[in-house]
Amino acid sequence: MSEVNTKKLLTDPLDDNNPITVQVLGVCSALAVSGSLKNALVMAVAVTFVTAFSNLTISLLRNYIPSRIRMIVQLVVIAFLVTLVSISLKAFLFDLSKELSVYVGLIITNCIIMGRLEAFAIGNKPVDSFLDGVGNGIGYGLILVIVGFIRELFGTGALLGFTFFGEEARHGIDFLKHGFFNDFFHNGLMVLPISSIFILGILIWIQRSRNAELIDIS
Amino acid sequence: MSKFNTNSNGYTLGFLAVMVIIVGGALAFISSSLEDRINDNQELDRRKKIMKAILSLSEDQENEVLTKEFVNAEYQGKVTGVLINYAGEVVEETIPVKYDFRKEMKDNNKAKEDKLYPVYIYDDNEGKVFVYQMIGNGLWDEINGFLALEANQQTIKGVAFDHVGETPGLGAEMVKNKFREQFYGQSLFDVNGNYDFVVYKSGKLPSGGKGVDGLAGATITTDGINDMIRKTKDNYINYISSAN
Repeated sequence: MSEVNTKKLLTDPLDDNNPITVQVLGVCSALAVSGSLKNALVMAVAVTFVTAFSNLTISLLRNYIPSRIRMIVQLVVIAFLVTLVSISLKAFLFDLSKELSVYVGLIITNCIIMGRLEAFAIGNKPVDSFLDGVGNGIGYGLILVIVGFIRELFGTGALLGFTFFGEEARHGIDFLKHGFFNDFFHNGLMVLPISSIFILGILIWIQRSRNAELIDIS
Repeated sequence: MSKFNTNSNGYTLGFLAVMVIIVGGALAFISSSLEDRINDNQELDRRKKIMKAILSLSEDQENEVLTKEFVNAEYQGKVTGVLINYAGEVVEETIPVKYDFRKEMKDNNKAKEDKLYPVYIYDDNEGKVFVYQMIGNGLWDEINGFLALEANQQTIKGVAFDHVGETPGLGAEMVKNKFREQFYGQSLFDVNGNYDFVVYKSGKLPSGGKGVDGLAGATITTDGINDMIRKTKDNYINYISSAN
């Protein structure tokens, strides 16, 4: 019984209870940071780390936190972890920290983290909360990576710095170089954050049409 | 449940105080213990950009050659930094540690004529290279970089750019070799010594037939780069002409 539940904690947020497409949390950063696949991947790892450990901390403290200042305490824990990530990136992965610049600090305002603390960690056991954090972080990251993949590929014709489409396709596969892909023009809309709204909308549409549990009967 | 009354005022205040002390103390400790490492990284990043501008390597070479050891050895062995004033006279033979280029350029209380500017001189016995520091505005945030001129103070040896938040895939392409290579060997001045250099809107070659093709889809970043180079020329013009 408990094994099934543990597994569900990790898999639920990937589909049935995805933080972005179902809970509609953390959309703001999904729009901003999904411009390139690399940024999306790093952001996914950073957010997973922060959700998992803030869930764990709050769950451990849940019986000691005065309920009137509950949210302040949550915010302090989140801010502490994010500052930790930010300082460590600067010290150990300097080039990456330059590329992510302000986005790391913005993890603090990512509503998924606060949302999971309020909805789950404040009333559940530490191990479960930790897994819930990991699951939601991965669920968030999954959407971010899908959107980042589509945006970078069609916006710049490249992925992770390797060009596939367009005249500059240096690393492209041979048949792509000589085929109609040479005529590919970068889609300027895809580079702008607003394209994520369309991509996210389409993702939600696809998900709802396939998943019977999400069909809105109201 | 806990044995305390977690809703009393005293408990709440005590909880806050303990929390702030623990979190504040931990962050202060981590920050100060990693400070040296972070400063080293920033200094290495700056030196790397200067070497990038001087050596004008290809992208593959850059990844291979510009290691930490190489950059530090080369910088310490062959680069001298001096501070000059607007008139082009050397005021400091070395660049003081507390000199902050960004702060100096953004200081609105000082006129251009009162500011001090850094020059990095690279000497490898085959002729000097002069490196000038640049700062400007892109579309979203600051852009900056280094401009290296050959010993004749006319021809661009190389450039290095950096940015804070330009659009990935468009403006952010300014750091790529594909864009930077166009600068190599171009002259900043015409035969009469007048400034004659432009980074033009992508695909819109000016009538003079000379310049650097801007970034496709990033007109404002392109204009920002153009302005930044012109402004840098203005800052250093007296030094550049006195060296000739």
